[in-house]
Amino acid sequence: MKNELDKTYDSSLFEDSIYAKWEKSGFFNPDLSNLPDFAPSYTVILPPPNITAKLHIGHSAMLAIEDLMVRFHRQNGYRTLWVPGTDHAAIATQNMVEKKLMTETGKTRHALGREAFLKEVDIFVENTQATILKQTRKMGASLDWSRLAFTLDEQRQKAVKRMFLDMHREGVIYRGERIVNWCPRCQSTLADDEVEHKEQKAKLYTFKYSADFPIPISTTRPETKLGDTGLAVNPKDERYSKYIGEEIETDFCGLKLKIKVIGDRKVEMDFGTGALGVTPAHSAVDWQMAEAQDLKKIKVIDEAGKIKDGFGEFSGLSTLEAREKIVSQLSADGLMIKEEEIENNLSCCYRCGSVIEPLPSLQWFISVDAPASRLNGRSMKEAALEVAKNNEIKFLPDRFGKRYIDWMENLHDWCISRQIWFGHSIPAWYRGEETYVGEEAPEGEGWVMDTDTLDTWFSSGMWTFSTLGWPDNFENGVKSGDLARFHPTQVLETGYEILTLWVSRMVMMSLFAIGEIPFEHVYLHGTILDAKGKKMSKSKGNGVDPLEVIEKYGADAVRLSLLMGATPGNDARYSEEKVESKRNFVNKLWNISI
Amino acid sequence: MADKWILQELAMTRKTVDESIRNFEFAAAADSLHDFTWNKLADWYLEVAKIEKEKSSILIYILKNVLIMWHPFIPYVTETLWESFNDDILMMKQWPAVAEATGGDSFAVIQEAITGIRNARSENKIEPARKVKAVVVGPNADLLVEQAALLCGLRTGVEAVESAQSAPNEAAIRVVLGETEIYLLGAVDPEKEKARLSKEKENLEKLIAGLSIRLENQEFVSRAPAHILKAEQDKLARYQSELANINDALKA
Repeated sequence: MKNELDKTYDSSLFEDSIYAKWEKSGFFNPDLSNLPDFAPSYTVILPPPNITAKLHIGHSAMLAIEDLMVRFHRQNGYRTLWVPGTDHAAIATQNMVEKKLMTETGKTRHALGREAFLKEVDIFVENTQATILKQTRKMGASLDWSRLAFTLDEQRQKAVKRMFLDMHREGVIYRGERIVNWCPRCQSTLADDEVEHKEQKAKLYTFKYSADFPIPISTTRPETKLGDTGLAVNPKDERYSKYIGEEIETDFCGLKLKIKVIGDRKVEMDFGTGALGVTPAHSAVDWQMAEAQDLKKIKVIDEAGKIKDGFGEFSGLSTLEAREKIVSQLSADGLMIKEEEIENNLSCCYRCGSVIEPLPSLQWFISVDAPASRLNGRSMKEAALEVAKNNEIKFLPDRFGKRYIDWMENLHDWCISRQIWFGHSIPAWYRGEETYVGEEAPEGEGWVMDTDTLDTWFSSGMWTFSTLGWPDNFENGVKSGDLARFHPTQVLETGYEILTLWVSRMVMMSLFAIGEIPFEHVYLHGTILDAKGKKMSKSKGNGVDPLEVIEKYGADAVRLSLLMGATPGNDARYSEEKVESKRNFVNKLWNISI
Repeated sequence: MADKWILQELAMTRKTVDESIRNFEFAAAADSLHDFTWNKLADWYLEVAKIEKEKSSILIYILKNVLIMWHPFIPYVTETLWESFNDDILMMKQWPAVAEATGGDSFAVIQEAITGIRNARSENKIEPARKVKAVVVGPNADLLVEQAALLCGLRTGVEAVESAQSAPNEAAIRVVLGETEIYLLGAVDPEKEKARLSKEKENLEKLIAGLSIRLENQEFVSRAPAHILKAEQDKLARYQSELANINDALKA
């Protein structure tokens, strides 16, 4: 023995200095190892944790597994690279900061303004990022810090912009209409999970569009009927089935409507009259019916919550005013059959409580079915299916390969624009009806840049190659530098819950950008549950702070407790007793050795 | 002999851990290393080393390998231990080549003997301080006598080992290891052992009586499938031979 060691192992005395020794050695960086040129490379890209919050014990499990693979290969002569990074998590982060702002100052982001709000976000990001990186080091993770990346840093902004332009040039990115949740007060779109539902009483009106219209309908929103283009009935409904396929012209409160009767098995025969007026522009369900049945979409309500021009005496009225006017007109004309009070689920803005107005708006999409010349005429969907089906990418456990294929086969176009402030900007400018997409703002007066940002999965979908220097080291289809040496990566190790959200996007984007798979293996870990098998969550208070247990038992004991008993795809239980028993083993090893 | 055994176990563990990690079976890799470290190295080999002495070079060799293999799982403690007796960095230490190791199988005989003796002592409630003599009969007798130091040294309470052509005549606890038998002498209180054997005898007689009635029942014999009938007959024969042994022991 060179040094005298104590009888028991006190992890807190050694861990920090050992980590410093590793970092100082430079061997986390494969460029500094003395490997022969022919040494095979082994690359793992750390799934970047969201900077919304500090790491939890599930992240520790991920770090333990990846560090194990990485250290094993590094010891065994591979040119081993493990790339660290964090994810800006666009909407999740914006919501965190908005909530914080509201509780601390009572202000909304709109009151603060875009620029000042984004400064607040930056401060928040810096704080959590520092905590996350400290926690990662504490776990003993042998990441190459010289290659640290952030999904929204300058290099990644460059990569994202380039990707957007390339996809747009190939016709894979397009702009089209889609129904969104609109808050007329906040003047913003809301994601589905930002919409709150309130039970409340509402009036259900039953009436006919006109005296000669054969089928009565029921609705809580008569004012939207100005935009009806269809009438849905259950094909099994003997009262109405004979009308299916007919297109009926009618006069509704002095305005002409063309209503096509369609059959839809989801229509409940015993709700209201069993017939639904289809308003494609102002109901998400109706929008889908219209897409499926090729109905016209007529926008009635504008972004301010007022009836648009072109609807006669109703134009310019608020939705409530228009409703009252229509109801009284229908009653006066003897068309109203029934008015009854019902319990209704109202959609409201989670921020201000205003009633949500579903309406169509222009959004950017990625077409997963458009053939792309750089994919030899295949679509992104076809290319991404092929690599899974012919086993170029292997999934662990197997069953997730099937889940990936099922999901991919049913994939629709991906809406990539978000009406939020924190995220990658969209390189598009508008002037009147003109749209320009490019590197820089176009010449000339009056161009306004798109104020939306990109879906967070757009930038994280590029993670394997955007962290390895793309697009700078990819020219005319030839890789150089890090991209040539470290891509495709060997393993993606991540949670099974983001198989579709993330893993599938990475495959599509890598195939499109550089024509190769992003990784050879996908290892999917389960969720870490508490000792009783319950999900950990902040609200339940059963979460575990990795730093606390590391402090108490040492990082090695925490790692070992997470590694032993972990099998891919299965959830595992965490308990402090387990960590304690592994600490005892670490001590045993210590005693054997000294 | 123990050296050969531990090196053989080390090579096997090295192979299992390597393959398991490459196949993404991390828990299996850790289990295998844990089993080697705790059950084989600590519980057996280190105990043997205390008796056989002069093992420091092989111990250091094994320890180095154990630290190298444990490093990806528990990097801090292994690096800390490594730097106490090495100048290089464990993180970059190549895993050793798998050297085919053989010749360790006979140590398994010693382990079985020791475990068998320990179990027999605890089953028969022999107080730990009571020393016994082991008489070995059968093919492995010479080996066990040769390794008497281990047999006596590893918490067996055995103070002497000798071989014999046949079972000793005095009261003894019998430990059966395949074809080899170990008789522990001086462990048995003759009165207690007699009581135990008598009880055993009573038991067997009851079982034999029951089985005999069944096998004399013509209806059962004619109807039962052949393999069941055969199994019952074999059982009866076994009981009868055990009873004969016990009767011999009681007479002795």
